[in-house]
Amino acid sequence: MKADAKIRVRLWDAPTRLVHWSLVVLVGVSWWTHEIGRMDWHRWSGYAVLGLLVFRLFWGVFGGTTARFSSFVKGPRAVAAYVRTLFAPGQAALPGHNPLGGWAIVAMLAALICQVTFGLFAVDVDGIESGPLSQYVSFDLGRSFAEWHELSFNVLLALIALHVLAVVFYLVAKRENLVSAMVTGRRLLDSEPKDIRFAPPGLALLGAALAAAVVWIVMKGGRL
Amino acid sequence: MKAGWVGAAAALAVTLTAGVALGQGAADVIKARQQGYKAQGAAFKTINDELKKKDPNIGAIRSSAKAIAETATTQYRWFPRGSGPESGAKTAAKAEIWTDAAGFAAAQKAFQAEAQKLGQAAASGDLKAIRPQVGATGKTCAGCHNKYRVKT
Ligand code: HEC
Ligand code: HEM
Repeated sequence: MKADAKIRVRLWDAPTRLVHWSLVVLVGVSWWTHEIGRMDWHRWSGYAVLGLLVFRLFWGVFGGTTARFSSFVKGPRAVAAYVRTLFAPGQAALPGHNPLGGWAIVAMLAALICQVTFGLFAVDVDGIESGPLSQYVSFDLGRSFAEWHELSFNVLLALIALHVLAVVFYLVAKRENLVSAMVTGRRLLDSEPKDIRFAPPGLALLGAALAAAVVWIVMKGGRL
Repeated sequence: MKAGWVGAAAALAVTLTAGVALGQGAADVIKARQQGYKAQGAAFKTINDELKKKDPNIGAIRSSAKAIAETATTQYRWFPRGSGPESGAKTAAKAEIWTDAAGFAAAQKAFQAEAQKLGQAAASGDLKAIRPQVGATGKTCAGCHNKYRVKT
């Protein structure tokens, strides 16, 4: 076997990649629409993020191997072991999220869930642009939700910065292009990974339908 | 309704404290003003929440609209000179309120006019008249905030 013969391996399925890049765009859109005061677009963008989150959680349980939480959420010992190899040269790239990156995904998803949830209950100072679930909380609590909504955005930004820095680190220090992997779904690896399965497209459709239903109910203010 | 009482109490507190010399009292004036605006916000939210329901409670809309219309007349006394950022107290009121007094007075007037119409629409109980007037009133809240309130 030749030492550095790498093979192109399919790692990320289309739904996972689509969710990833849509979130990138929509977090930007959400920020920008608030900047320019288009709160109607801000809500639409937020609803889209909500749908993507519901789908991603569904996919994290029922999706393909690399998308599943059970495949990439590891205990502290696995994380510590991985961290020790992080700066060592010549480490074989792992198929899918590494133990440290896995937690970054969980943290970003959690921050986004907080972001959207706080937005849904947020009351703005004029009381006209409030979230669709704000009718279930008092004015004061709704204003607090708006404050948390602002706070969690800063947390989200910090996590995104960390995530991007990590990707740059892999690109520069380890010469691994994770960006193209998330675009094409394929990555060069030393060997064909075992045990990577992908979920059938029909299942993605089911997840999308579930996401659409949740968004619909939330938009209607929780009334069916 | 509750919002109305809070608003009235706050308005009274502002009026009383505005009478005495400011300085030490500025913080109290500001606090009472913010309480008053909070009550405005709560009353306005009540109306908006009711309008989202299939079967809005006209009584709740009416009392909240009344409270807002009443506050629209008392708010003129909420901004005694010295109760701005220069007081050192925590306030979102911009200095422009006093340097651009004519513009601020116009914003207060515009708000009062729309709030009065809202009170009348609510009194009539006609949802078709209330809905657009809620929007028109909200625009005068936002219009004043954009110019004279620090974004927090
Ligand atoms: C003429 C100008 C003006 C109008 C009209 C106006 N506001 Fe305000 N509002 C202010 C200013 C100035 C502040 C900041 C007060 C401070 O911090 O001292 C404020 C603050 C507030 C606050 C925050 C209070 C706090 O500190 O917690 C709320 C809520 C609010 N306004 C609601 C409303 C609503 C609802 C309306 C319309 C129904 C409205 N306002 C109309 C000028 C206005
Ligand atoms: C990815 C999701 C979202 C992001 C990144 C986002 C981001 C933001 C940001 C940065 C602000 C400004 C905070 C400030 O500086 O005051 C804001 C305000 C606001 N957002 Fe969102 N948002 C999201 C989703 C939502 C959703 C789903 C809703 C509800 C439908 C919502 C409702 C609001 C409201 C009402 C405000 C105004 C709060 C105020 O004026 O005090 N947001 N959002």
